[in-house]
Amino acid sequence: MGLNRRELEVISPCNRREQMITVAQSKVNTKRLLESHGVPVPTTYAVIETRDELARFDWGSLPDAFALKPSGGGRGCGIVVTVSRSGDGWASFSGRPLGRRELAFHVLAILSGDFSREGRRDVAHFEQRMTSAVDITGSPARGLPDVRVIVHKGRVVMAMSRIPTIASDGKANLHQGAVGVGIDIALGVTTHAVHDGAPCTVHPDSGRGLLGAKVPYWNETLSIALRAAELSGLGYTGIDLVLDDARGPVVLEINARPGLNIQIANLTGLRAALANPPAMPTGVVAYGTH
Amino acid sequence: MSRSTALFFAALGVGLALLVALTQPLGYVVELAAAKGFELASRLELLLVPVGATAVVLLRTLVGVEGFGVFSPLVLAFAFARTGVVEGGATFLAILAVATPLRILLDRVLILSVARTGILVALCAVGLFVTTALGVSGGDPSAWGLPVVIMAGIVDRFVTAQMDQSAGEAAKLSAYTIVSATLVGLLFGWGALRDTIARWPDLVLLSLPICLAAGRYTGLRLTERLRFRALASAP
Repeated sequence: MGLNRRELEVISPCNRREQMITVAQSKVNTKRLLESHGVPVPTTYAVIETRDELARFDWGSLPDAFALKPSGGGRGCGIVVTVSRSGDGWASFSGRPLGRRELAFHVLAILSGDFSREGRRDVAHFEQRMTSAVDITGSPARGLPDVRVIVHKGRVVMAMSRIPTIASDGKANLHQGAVGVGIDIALGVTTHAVHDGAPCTVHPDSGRGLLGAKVPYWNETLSIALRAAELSGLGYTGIDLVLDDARGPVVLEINARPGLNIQIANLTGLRAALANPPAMPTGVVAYGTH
Repeated sequence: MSRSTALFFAALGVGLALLVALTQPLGYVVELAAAKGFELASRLELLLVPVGATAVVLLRTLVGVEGFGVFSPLVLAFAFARTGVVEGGATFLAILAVATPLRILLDRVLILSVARTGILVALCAVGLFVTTALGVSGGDPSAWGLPVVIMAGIVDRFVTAQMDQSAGEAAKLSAYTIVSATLVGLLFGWGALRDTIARWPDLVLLSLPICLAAGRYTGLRLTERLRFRALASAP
């Protein structure tokens, strides 16, 4: 399936425009909705909606590690993550100091719409920093690997894990150099892998095998993804989850226009998967759509 | 869409096409203007827009040359057509080469993105003024008014893409923008096309059904065939 077909035959009939905009433009609200229905999401520490709130913000209330995100951003833009304290402020993963002044400016940039679509005014939020010490194959993780589950009309159609590499600088986007690992839906076992557009079998950094691994929390991951998709009100979504060290599967993001690279990671076309969805593990229940 | 609605639209399309072919409304307008003694050549420029837009649409939907939007390549193509594709392209690359480090520098300074874009547009315009005034950039300098804004915008998005995604992705988007602008610019400069439009202006209306058809194409784009080549050889 290519971009043209995805738009015309999948997104357009499945995802109402207003609903896509609602989900994409307010991650804060989407997160609240999921949370209120018991779907695990990162804990929200604070939300800043206006410059006034920013001026009065109590920086001392923030923990050592957190993620500062725009509510309406896309493609991971405008996200700042701290991992520890550093003097008066915090420090990033690479050790770069992030002082209050710098963070306050970043919040201001978010509020001004620097990271939202079409420069629309936006909301900034601080949330729990998720961690995954190991990726789904059990190797030590560099950065934050995630699991993406594509849900179409209440059924899981495809899934993959995105594992960061040195080349991707800890980021989990495939076009930035992360490895994509396809997952057999019924078994929760890794099947194929892709790196830089070509099939591979081992992690490019560690050389450890990527295939045949049993994904932890598999049934739970699928059930949570299905619930999140149902609550989003979208008929076709890509649910991004992280398998957090402390909390297990946690929903990070809901995508109304999930990318097509997942097909390469699974060596299967989405057209076939949509027409003939794979069997789900026992205990994972599809939901009905109207 | 059901079969009967599709048939209805097909019949409507054929009907409209026949009507246009028989009455030639734009040809009539041209005759009218000629009778009144209006100068036509510059006005016919406008009819190049549908042709260029269709070309950009086809490049995106069939080939997969997806740059920064539809307007950027189109506006650049117009500039290229008036300044000459080689001079225009060289000027554009020069601006990109000078403005990109500037933009990166501006990013070190904590200012909001609107202000940053404003500074970038201003500097691009000044730079272009200097090169055109000294006669370094060839062709018609007045053609650069709007394109300079577009170019500054492309530089801005180029650097943003570079930081948020990757250098490769940013380079790809910019290269695609330049490729489609160049192709469409060459198309605009093609004498035979201009002559044909001047002779049979109604032909440009063909861009409507062509865009409609392209908008319904659900197959793989040429670049996607390359991107998903691993799938093609899969069992």
